[in-house]
Amino acid sequence: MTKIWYIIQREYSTRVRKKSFILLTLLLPVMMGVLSVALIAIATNAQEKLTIAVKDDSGIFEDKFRGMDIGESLRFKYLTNNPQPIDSIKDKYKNIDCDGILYIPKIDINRPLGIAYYSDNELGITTEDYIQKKISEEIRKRALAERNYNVDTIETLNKQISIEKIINNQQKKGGSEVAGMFGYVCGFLIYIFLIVYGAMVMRSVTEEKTNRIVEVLVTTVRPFQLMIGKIIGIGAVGLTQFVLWGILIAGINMLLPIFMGDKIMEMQALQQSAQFASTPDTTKLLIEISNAFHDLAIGRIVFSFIFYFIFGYLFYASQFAAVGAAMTDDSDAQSFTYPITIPIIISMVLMSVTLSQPFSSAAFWGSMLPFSSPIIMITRIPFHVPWWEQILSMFILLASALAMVYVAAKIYRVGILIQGKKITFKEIGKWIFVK
Amino acid sequence: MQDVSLNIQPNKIYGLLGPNGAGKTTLIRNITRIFFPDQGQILYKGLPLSEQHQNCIGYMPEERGLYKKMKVREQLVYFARLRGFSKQDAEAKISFWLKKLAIESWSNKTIEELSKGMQQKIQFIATVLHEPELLILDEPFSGLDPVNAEIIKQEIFELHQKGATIIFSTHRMENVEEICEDIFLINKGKIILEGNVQTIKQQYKKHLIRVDILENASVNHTTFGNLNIVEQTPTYLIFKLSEQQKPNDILKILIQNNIEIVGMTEILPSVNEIFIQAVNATS
Repeated sequence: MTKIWYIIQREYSTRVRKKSFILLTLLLPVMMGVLSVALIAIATNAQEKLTIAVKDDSGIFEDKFRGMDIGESLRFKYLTNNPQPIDSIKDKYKNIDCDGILYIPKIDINRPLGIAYYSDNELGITTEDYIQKKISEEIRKRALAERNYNVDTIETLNKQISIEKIINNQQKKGGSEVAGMFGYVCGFLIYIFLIVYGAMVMRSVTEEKTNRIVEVLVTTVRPFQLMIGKIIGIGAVGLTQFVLWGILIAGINMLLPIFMGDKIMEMQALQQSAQFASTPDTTKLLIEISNAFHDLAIGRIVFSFIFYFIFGYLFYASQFAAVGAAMTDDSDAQSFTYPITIPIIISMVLMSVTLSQPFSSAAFWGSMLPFSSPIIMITRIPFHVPWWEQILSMFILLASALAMVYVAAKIYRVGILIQGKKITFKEIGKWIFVK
Repeated sequence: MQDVSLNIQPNKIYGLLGPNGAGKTTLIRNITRIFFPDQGQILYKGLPLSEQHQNCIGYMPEERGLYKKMKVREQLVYFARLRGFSKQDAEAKISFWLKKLAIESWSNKTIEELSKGMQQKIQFIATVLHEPELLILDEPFSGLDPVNAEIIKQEIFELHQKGATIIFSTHRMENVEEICEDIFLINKGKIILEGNVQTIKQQYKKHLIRVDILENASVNHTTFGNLNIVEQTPTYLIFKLSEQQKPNDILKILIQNNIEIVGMTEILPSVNEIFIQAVNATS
């Protein structure tokens, strides 16, 4: 046991101290932070600063544009008491420091034609949408009023509904989107972890083999100790990286509002206004997300994530270790890793099916088979999978992971000491049954 | 390998010789429990070789078995701890050896920064750290310059004096003559020659006698009777004696002819010659 512990320590400490590890661990969250800052900066600064002169001959929109300014990025300036016809002033907006002129002729509410914008520059899509939406809203109100409808009544009738879900006699507040989002993130993290750290185990095994380090080590430790120590050590490196990323990303996201609070507010205002002032929707989504958090049984997700993370990794990393031991050089890597990576990639495809139909039979079987369950089951768990299914899936994965470690150890034992000879899958099969 | 039977006596230095691909490394790997024999067994002090003997054996493979990216000291500490040393003991032992081989200044260098010969020294320390009773060295001098080869050679002798048994695999015969008491010669998986180096030389000797003389023109006119001269120069003569002839027969004739003798030696075959002869005989 102590020998395994030393091996784990070596695998862990040599990797964690590597510059590339430190750099990647720090850089990724920092880059994400920089990206957010850049997005905010772009959203707030790159927004065109427009001042639009409004000539309203219809009189309908008097004052209507006043409340529509968006920060500094869009301002309206009324040309009141200007009896000149539009043709004579349409080129003169520059004289009053405007970027363009919006002309609303005397219009028929039922056939609102002839509204025009004069400028040297094209209007941005969001701005155009925004203005169109505002004008059509106003015209709609006028048209309704003309027909003697009570506008306020109609507004109140204009309701969005959401379906209340009662699952297993318990009311669920969160929407499926949030559960799906959670499932996707968890599944994707495990996917990345399996591929990246599995390959790391393989490369490290091959390195020890080609450098003949095993020959020295095997005289002091058993091949099994060497293999399992390496798998655990590298897994711990991966966990460390994920935990550090989690902490750093959370930290940066918390710091952002402190330094850029007003900018963020401005951006949110912009986004909301761009979404045609759909404030109610946004708040609804926010409420939904926070409801969903209560709903999601975070404890269960965290527990399940750690379980599938560890045993999924054990299941795949031992395969990678076995293959790494059987390889004679890196050029074998591709043909040998296909059988391992294909199930992982299929699981990724199955994941999108699972997200849209978490209770389909494909999703069910995907979450039972150990090849895909680490990814598929964790994707399904936020959708409240019955406990019996999860326990069965966990049991299958646990048993398969241990069986895989056993088989891999057999292959590793023989493969690691064979040099300079091309190995076929048939031979690897034989090694499993070598006593 | 077939029908290989070796008897290694404690505190001796053995040379394991053989052409490339003869099975030297395979034999060593069986002793170090890297491979297991299909048939037969290996006994260590009368007991079947098992895991408990691993700490009694030190093995230095021909190719470097070191982590390239690890620092020298760190790496040695790791090996020592796997051998069961406490951290303090490991550090003390390593300091001792680094000092002894005058390489303390490399402690914090990574293996890949070192030359092949320097790596060889580190590998040597890793092999002898735990003071093994049985030391197996596969081509320990490859890549070493004469100075460093001499240092390692002295260390091997010192370990031998302290009681270690040494098996030394090589195909560099000059090392064998200098170091080994006994040799095993393997070819095609079989032992074709074994025994004490001097005894084997006696077995393979061709009864050649070299006599060094003072430069003397009359040698050319001398008749040596029934003595068989193999080589003749103005300063030395080489005779091949038959079964009945003795070295004194040569002396008699030389003295009779007034040829000044400076020295006389029996030419024993070098291990190299024996090696080639034995290998050719079996191929």
